[in-house]
Amino acid sequence: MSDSQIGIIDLLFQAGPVVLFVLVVLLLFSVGSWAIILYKFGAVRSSMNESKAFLDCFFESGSADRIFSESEKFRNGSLSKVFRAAYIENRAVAASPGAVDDRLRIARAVKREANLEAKRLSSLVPFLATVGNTAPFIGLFGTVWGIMSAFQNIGLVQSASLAVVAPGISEALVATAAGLAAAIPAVMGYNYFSQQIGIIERDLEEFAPEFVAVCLHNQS
Amino acid sequence: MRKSGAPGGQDKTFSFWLAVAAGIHVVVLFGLVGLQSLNRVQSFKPRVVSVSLLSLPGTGGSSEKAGKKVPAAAKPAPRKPAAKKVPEPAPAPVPKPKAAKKVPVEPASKPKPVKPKKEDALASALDRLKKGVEQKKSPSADDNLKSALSRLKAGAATSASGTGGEAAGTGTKGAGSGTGGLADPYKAAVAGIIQENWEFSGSLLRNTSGMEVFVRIRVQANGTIAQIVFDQRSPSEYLNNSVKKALEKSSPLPPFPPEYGSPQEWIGFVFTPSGIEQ
Repeated sequence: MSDSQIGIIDLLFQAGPVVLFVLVVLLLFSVGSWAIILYKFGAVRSSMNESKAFLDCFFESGSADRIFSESEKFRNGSLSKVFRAAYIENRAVAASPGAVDDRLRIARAVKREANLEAKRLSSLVPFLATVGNTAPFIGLFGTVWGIMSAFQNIGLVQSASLAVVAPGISEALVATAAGLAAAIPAVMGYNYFSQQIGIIERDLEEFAPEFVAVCLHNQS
Repeated sequence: MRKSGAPGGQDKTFSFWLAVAAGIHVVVLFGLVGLQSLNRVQSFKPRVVSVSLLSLPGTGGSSEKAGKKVPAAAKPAPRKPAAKKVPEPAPAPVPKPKAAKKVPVEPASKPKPVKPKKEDALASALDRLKKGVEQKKSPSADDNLKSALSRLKAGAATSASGTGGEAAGTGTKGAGSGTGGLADPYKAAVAGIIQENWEFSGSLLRNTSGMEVFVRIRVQANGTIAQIVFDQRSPSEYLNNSVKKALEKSSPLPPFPPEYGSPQEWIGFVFTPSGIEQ
């Protein structure tokens, strides 16, 4: 087998320490990105589906007590969580009426829960953006370093034939390929989750006053 | 409608998905390696043999190819059969005009303004050679002719400031006497010269195991390397090319010592990343 037929494993074994380090970093980035993508995909999809189902239940049921009991079925839905927070606050207000306006207290509780939910949904997602932005540059760094080493070796041999030049450059380019392989899914995942989380946040803002109104109506 | 606490994806922890992602990467990596090895098996291509269409018997640019059995038979070069007809003593002059034609072609690849000089030198030398062949008319006229041509070529190359030294070997199988060995001072000296001209760095090889090149060279009495035969090539073309270049660069070698009776000698070397062995 000639030198031009080099396998991926051969390339990895022949790579220098810097290129190898870059490849390890990119591998970790890629594993982390994919883990976040899989984890978030399940979480966001579940949240959206259960929010949708909760809204159906919300509009069908008339009383807040009934909606609250139904919301037990949708523990992963963002809207159901916010409603539950509003209902619990409403109960607390009814139990110990204070100086502060009831509506304001419930609205604060809803806002707090909505923020918490948005934070929970968007956690780990910025890592995808970081990988998407930095992985190609890290790969490029490995490539530049590998090509530097390759040219140093060519200088030692004092020959610039293709057989001498090609293997070193081929080794170096693996780092760029690895960087792109890590970055592309990360960027795609980041865009998808940003859009989905944006939709959920808009839903939360839209339905928060509704929840407050239903709870106050139930109190009266 | 999914109930809360159902064993869905939401309940799985992040570490679970981390393990899944790591598993996917391992599978993809092994898949790539497997795919690559599969492609290697399927897309086997025979070794590409580059053939020099114009050739002179003598020191050989790409004579390594001619030295191989298969290329010698498979070469479509129109000049080759004429060169091989030389064993008949009578048509010996036939290749001479061809040789005279070929030589000016070689510098075309290396543009130099010395073509007329080379032609003159070749023509006069060929005349001398003709005379010598007619005088002797012995069964070994073939070898004499070859040696003379190679000497002529070497001389012309030297006069033309080192250009025009590239030519393919004839591919004929010589039968050298094979005297001497490790203790032979001439062969040791030859090995030393080749070692000096050998530009090779073992650090560029991925794997040094099995990197051996078995080469035989046919050296004429005046020291010219008439033929290079690769008995065994290494998997690295870089090593093979460096050996070929070293041998070409080393020609002409010192002339035979007087105790060598034969007009030519075969000398074998083993080139390894650690050095040359005889």
